[in-house]
Amino acid sequence: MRVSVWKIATITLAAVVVFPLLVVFSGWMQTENLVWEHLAETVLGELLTNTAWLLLGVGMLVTALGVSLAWLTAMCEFPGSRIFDWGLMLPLAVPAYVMAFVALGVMDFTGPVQSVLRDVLGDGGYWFPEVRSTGGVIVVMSLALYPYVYMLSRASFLTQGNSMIEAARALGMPAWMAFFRVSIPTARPAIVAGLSLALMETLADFGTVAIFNYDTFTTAIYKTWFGLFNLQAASQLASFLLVLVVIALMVERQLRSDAKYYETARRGCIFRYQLSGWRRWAATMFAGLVLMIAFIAPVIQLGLWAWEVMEQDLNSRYWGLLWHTLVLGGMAAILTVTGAMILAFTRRYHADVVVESSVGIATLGYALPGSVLAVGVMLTFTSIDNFMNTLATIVGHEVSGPILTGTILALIIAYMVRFLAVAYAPIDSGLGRIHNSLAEAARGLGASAVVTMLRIYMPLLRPGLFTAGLLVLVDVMKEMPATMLLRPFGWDTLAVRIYEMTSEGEWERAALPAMTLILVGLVPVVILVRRSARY
Amino acid sequence: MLPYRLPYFNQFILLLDNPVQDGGAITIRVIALAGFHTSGKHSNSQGGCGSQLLHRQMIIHIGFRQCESFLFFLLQIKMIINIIRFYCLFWVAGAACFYTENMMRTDSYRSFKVLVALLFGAILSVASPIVMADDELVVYSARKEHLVKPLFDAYGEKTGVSIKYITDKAAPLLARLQAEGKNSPADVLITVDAGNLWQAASKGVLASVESDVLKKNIPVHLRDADNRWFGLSVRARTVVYAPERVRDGELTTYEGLAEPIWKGRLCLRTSKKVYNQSLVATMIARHGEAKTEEIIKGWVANLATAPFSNDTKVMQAIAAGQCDVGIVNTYYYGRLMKKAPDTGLALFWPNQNDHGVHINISGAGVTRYAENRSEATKLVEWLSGEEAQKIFAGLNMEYPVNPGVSPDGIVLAWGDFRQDQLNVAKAGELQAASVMLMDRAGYK
Repeated sequence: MRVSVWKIATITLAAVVVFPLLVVFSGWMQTENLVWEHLAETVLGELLTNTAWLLLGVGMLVTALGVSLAWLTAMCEFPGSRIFDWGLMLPLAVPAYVMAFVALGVMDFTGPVQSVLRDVLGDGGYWFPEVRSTGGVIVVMSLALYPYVYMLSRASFLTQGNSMIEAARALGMPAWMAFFRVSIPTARPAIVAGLSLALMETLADFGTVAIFNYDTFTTAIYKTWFGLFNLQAASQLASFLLVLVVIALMVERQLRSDAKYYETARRGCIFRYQLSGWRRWAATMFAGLVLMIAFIAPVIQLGLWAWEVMEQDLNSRYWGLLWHTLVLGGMAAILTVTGAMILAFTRRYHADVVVESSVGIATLGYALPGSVLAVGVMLTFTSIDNFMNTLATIVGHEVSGPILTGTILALIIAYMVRFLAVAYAPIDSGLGRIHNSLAEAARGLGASAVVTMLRIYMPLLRPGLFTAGLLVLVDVMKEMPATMLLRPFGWDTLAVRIYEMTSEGEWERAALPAMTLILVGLVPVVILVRRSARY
Repeated sequence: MLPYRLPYFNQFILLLDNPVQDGGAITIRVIALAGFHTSGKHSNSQGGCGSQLLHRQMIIHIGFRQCESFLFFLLQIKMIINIIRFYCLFWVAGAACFYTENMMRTDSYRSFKVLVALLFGAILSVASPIVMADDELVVYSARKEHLVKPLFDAYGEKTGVSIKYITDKAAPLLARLQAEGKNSPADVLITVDAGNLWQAASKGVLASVESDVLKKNIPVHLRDADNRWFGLSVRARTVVYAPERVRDGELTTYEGLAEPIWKGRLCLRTSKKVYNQSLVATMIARHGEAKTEEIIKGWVANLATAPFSNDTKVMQAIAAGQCDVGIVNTYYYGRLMKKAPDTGLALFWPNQNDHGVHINISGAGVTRYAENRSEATKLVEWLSGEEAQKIFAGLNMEYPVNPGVSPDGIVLAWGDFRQDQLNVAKAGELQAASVMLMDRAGYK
């Protein structure tokens, strides 16, 4: 059997990811019955219920928002549809924890909204939903995470074209039925990919739920680590979480089984439905409302807060923060997208058990809470460092000091480990829609494998690659725990700054870096989205 | 053929001027005079940024601690890496210009090559070794950057010692210290809360330091019995209330807040915050677990609303009338008063007839494997001295740990109070017990 370069590359990537995961699983080498018993007796039941509700709620809301908006903007013509097309992706630049602190600041009992209501209606004179509740967390997280589903399903709707729908309509299917029976099933890989990203992020989230003081399974992990100082037990809990994710992903893959989803028509000749009458304005209202709540309102509020502290906090150090954020994001995006591309291609053309499981492992990093994964990566690097230092000592030289830990390289690899899944999803779903016959034709006409990949796949895959790069870039810029633990000295980023301020309860001072982060995140979102809109 | 030529060094001069031995450190200066240019019809015709001739002079300054043949060998490798790095940086810059111009255009074959170039350039350019100078200290700090940087700046100005630091939460920093072991670059660990310091000491990452200065400056109950950590500032966790809704004599003690008269009037911060864990830990030390659990259950029963994620929110809720009383650290109160002086809240010092107000510290310890223990000790000593204590007190409205330094004017106006004299280490010892107890009592 010829050993393929692709396979080796894939296995290498899986190995890079698997070491930190092994570190997490090595928590099981010690028994920590006390912590498990304590949790089981006291809070575990509630935590699991909370987590389940959160997943269910976020999953449903994110799918409903993402798919409906993607369909509207991709396939329909209504007032403002061209603006909403890219505008609805903007909330991607707003980190969920920023959305959370703005939502609480504005809507909670002490916020301006309820204060005005109290002034007008008196103390008990109005009813207001409790913001710090399951519903509140679900809404905030869904608004922050729906762009994942939106982006991926929008790309899918755009590439699938209308020929299938037209066929369905010609055979007498009503429009809404064609949507549910043709468009949605065809877009299913993309929707599922987006949904699983959103759910994995929900599962691993700590920042948002901490601001709401809403206890989920992640809370138990952090409580065990920060409160009980028991990293082993925390790792055990985290690996339990990971096992759950693996099972969920396997179930989904099984359900999808062997169905293949191909694109049939060329893009560029998409017929967009002209909405008419009340439908036009309903569509505008709906899209506008989502955009308003998920993006415009938080940004305005942040802007107001940022304005207050602008003079005090805006100094030359800000350029440093900005620069670091961008450099880290850019480098991580390039590396991660390349890695994800290797994974996707190998899985499609050299699939066997080893490759399947390698790909599965390599994309697991996203499901772990950031801090736990960061510790896994950190421990991996420090053990390599210690090993190398020991080697040097054996040779007879006293060398001390870290070699990898605390370098940018370590941080970038940590990002890759964490975000491979993010880049993999759009690339894989894009690849899934490219029909084999194109490649076969190219090969039949004498093109080499490399040329086929570069001249056939790359151009067809470009929207997926763009989406992947953008997602990773924005995610890395928002990333906190790994950055905190592994950054080189002096490499503070905007996200680090936000953490320092929010953890001291200084929301107003956190607004300036948050606002900057959003603005910086907007640049790639707008550029890439406008480019992809041309297809 | 490629549409553009790769950027290259057309001059490259390497000067190795004589290695100077100063205090066991080798200083090697690499002067790379590098000029490079990219050319080609593509970039010219489109007026891209790759066509200019660039001249750069770089001086790389590398300091090493030991002069050994092995290191010298390493040094040469590192120099070569550096040369490759700079070459790649230029390449990346040129490629980036080209990339942005052409990536979207047509032929993805070219784009792919550029992408690969970018990738390798990026990877190589970041593979930089950490190089440390001698007159440098490394601090791992769980105290936030804006609360430590002014101190480090002042110290650097005074002594010429520059301080490198990273900030993170206490637990990850501790995990990193443990993992790095004797290879750790850290000299000093700074954390907030005695619980975290106690954990660090018990995990063996801190060194015992004998210093008369520290013993003189810091009261016994605010430092470790084995001199592994030292308090640097005191934070009092006290009761804040709305005077218009709380009658005289209602407020007495922390324990008193569990009484039924406070039903629906109490606001608390989450039990996940270490400040509350320490407060409850000292209560366990005093009353035992059973009684403390009763008290905490009483608190939970009295809550007006679910616990908040931070102290400021607690005070805002009291000000807005959601509840009447809460427990916060005084400096949060100070910050709120600065921002909104007419909030109408007041501080109350509880337990003045028995053990006093619960206090905690932020503090520091010298790490076990500090490369330069005496310098590190000097830093901690300076932090406990008058100049630094004033900065501590002024920056965050905390109480100085040094009895010879008086607090900030605003803080003085809150009045004097009796402090809990229990050694703050107790908070660390009983932290796990307190977390579990609060879980049992349903305090979220």
